[in-house]
Amino acid sequence: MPVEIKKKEAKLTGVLGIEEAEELFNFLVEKKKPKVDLSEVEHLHTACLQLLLVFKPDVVALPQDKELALWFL
Amino acid sequence: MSNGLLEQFILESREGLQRISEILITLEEKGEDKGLLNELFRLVHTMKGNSGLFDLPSMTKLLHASEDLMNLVREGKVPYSSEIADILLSAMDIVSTMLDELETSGSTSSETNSSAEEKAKEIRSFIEAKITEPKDISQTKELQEEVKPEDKKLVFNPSLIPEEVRMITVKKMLEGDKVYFILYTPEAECFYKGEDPFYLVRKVPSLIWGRCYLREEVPDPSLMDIYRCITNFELLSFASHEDLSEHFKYVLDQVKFVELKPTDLIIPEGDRNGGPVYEDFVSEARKYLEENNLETFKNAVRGLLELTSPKLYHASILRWIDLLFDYLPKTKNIIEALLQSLETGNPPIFEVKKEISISPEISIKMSLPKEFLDILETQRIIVEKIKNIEDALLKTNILKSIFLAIEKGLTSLKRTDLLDEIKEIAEKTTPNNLKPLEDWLNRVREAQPEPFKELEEPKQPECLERPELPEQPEQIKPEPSATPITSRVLKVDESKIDRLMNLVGEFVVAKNSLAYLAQKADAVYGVPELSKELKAQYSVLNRISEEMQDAIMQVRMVPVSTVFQRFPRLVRDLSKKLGKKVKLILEGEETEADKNVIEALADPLIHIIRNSLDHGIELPEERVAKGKPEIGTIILRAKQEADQVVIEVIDDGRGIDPEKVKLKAYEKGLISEEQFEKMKDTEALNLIFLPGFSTKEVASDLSGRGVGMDVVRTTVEKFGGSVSVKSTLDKGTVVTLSLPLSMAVSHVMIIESACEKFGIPMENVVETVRVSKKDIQTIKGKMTTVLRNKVVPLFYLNALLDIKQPHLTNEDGEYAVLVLSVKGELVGVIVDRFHETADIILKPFTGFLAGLRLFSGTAIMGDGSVLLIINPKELINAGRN
Repeated sequence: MPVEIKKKEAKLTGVLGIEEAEELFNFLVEKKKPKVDLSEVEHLHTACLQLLLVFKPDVVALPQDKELALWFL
Repeated sequence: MSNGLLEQFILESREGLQRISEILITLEEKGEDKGLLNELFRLVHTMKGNSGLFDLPSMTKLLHASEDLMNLVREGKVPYSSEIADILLSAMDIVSTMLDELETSGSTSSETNSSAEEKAKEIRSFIEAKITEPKDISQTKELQEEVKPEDKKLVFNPSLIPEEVRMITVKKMLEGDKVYFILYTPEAECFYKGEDPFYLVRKVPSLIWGRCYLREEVPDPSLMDIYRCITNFELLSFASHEDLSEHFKYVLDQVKFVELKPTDLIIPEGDRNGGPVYEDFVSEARKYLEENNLETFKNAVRGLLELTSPKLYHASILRWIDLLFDYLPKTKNIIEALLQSLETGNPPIFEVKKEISISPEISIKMSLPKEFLDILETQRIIVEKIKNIEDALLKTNILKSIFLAIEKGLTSLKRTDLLDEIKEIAEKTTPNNLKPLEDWLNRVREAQPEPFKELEEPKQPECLERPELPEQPEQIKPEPSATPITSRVLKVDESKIDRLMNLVGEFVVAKNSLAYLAQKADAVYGVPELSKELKAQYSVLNRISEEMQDAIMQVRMVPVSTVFQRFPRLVRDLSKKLGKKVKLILEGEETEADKNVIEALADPLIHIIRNSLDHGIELPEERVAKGKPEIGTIILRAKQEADQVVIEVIDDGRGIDPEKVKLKAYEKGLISEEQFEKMKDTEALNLIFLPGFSTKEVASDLSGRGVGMDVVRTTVEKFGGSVSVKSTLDKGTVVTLSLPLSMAVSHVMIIESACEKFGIPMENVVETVRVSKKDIQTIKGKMTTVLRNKVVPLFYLNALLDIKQPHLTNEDGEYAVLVLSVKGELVGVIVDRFHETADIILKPFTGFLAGLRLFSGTAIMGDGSVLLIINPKELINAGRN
């Protein structure tokens, strides 16, 4: 599962397609102070990226992929 | 061209274009007509949809824009006008040019692509202007003009880029790389088109830096539309403009490129208060710089930098100076400006920057091809000349054409910067005031690098000597619309071709009668002169009819790619299903053959390829164990050999084991024990074509193939073709199909037996010989003779046809023997007499006679008689039984 939710934190893994946008959206809307762990993300679809820009959740871990991590600095 | 689908698209699009321009013109004449407008919309809509099947983003975009415009007209939101007609017609001209390019080279050129893109933009802005058209037109114009210069400016805020990134970028620029700032504004609906802008952005070539941000505020995130893209991207890349355009080719309209100059990025930042006093340092630094005492300067800067807190504004300036040192002397101006800033505490003012952003010279200098400069030079001369013209209309028109030439040239060169400029100039220039244009032309000339100017000088007199105005149109690049491109392809119903073919066939038969008539004129009426003339006439008609046949054959010719096209998909699907890895290679797809032949090929080929996949190619593990590449290969190759089209299906699979085939055939009772013992491996392989061989049980037992091979052979032979198989164990199998290129006219040899004439297909005839009675030996009750050291079995034709008459011999007691090649073996057939060969139109038996397998059909001869055409294979089979 690319989106794994544990309480207030969502761990995103691998490649997140547009299919994952809704799940991520629901998580971000429902939680008061959502957190995301991006360490295992390889790529995320613009729709998912956009959600992170809109909701500005706490990023607890940047992607290990350094190139990708730069986008979240 | 080998792509049938593309061919079809071009054909249909041409028809569409033809109809579109007809409608546009009718509309202009007759005014709005709901029906026609609807048709127009549909045509463009269809073309747009079709173009989407191919990799033609520019064409699709252009058609899409046109479609939108037509839709507005159709819905009555915008009144139809000749202006719209002009726009649409010119758009269709571009599409037509693209189609031509597609046909000749298989792809569209970047020039037409960019003109299509531009046209699409033009249409879009036209639509926008029409929709939002306020009552006062002049107001909009002003508004647009106000917006325009704003647009050209850098839209980004460089301080958003971290200083380290800017420093790296500036270094790159100073080392000679061009760096582009890219603003990508994906359209809101892009997710629905399957686009992922972020992915595209991450793959940008030579990306230095990037950021993403929301282009609009989201008041209530919980209500947002998550499938609407509102994210923008800003990027820095040092890839070439071409590479970037190629990368963003599908979304070019959503991307802006700005070439950056070092000074765009040299922006010191930080806290402006505090730190040591700098006045002394600045004056010293200036002195060092003037004296070129760089080492000392460098040390001074570094020393001061160590004393300064890195967060201060001044530290930032010092860091920049430190970087720029290495690129002196070209960075001297910049360093000076930075020193100035250090002194005053105000942001640096780069004089260079001003120059770059205002004067167009620099950009012109960069790259204008010599050919285009020549043309500009000519335009300059023309401007000189028209000053003396008094006729205002003439003057205006010539002026227009000058601008047109320059604009077209710049468009082709993709110099949008200069294009905007010349458009402004065009507005300012009037027949009575040529100055703006003259100034511009001179400026471009001045801006050329020195060596070029020198080159130009001696050329000038030559230019002046040229004849004056009539020459001028030649300078203008030919416009696509100037030469109407008409369709050169005719779409004809197949039945019409068939009718034509039948008529040609009848003509061939009628022509043949002339030969009989010539004979008769001599033999019966005793007029040899007439006979001679008739023969001469016959040869003329013969030649024409042959050419006619040839021409009609050409019409029916289709490339084998029409059949081959379906196989990549078939192989892909089947190999996935079977868990095998297979690569299909198509060769010689352009080989042409008659339509019927090509169609006849389809089913047998599917059978063969399926067999190769199923029984030939091994599973990946098995292949690896055998030391073969994991991925199996199937080659589908077509070629033309004489009047045959030969198709080979080659696989590198496990091959067929002849021993197993033999054994199976023996078990099935298809061959005798004697045959089993004697049979060679090559013969054994041919057993797979036997009808009884193809049962499911056999196929799954055998390591080779077997499914439906008899069906393959029957189908191929029905069309006068043959099939053979070669195989090496563990190396692979080759199945070869050969079919005649066309089937309309057959060449037969006429023979006579028991006072009846029969035709035998020439492809089976090897030779005609006379064999003396005494040379015929009977072995085991079968007649044979020795021909060129080969034992050839002999048959009496009369016996084969069940005619109870002995064969005639000549005076020397010799039989006429027709040597045939049947299934690769030589067979002699004794007949009474040989006659000439003839071209006939074979009519297969239908209805009750269809079961008559001994004959393949009939033909009507020139004298009106009916000729039975023997099927040699069946004939010999009958003899063997």
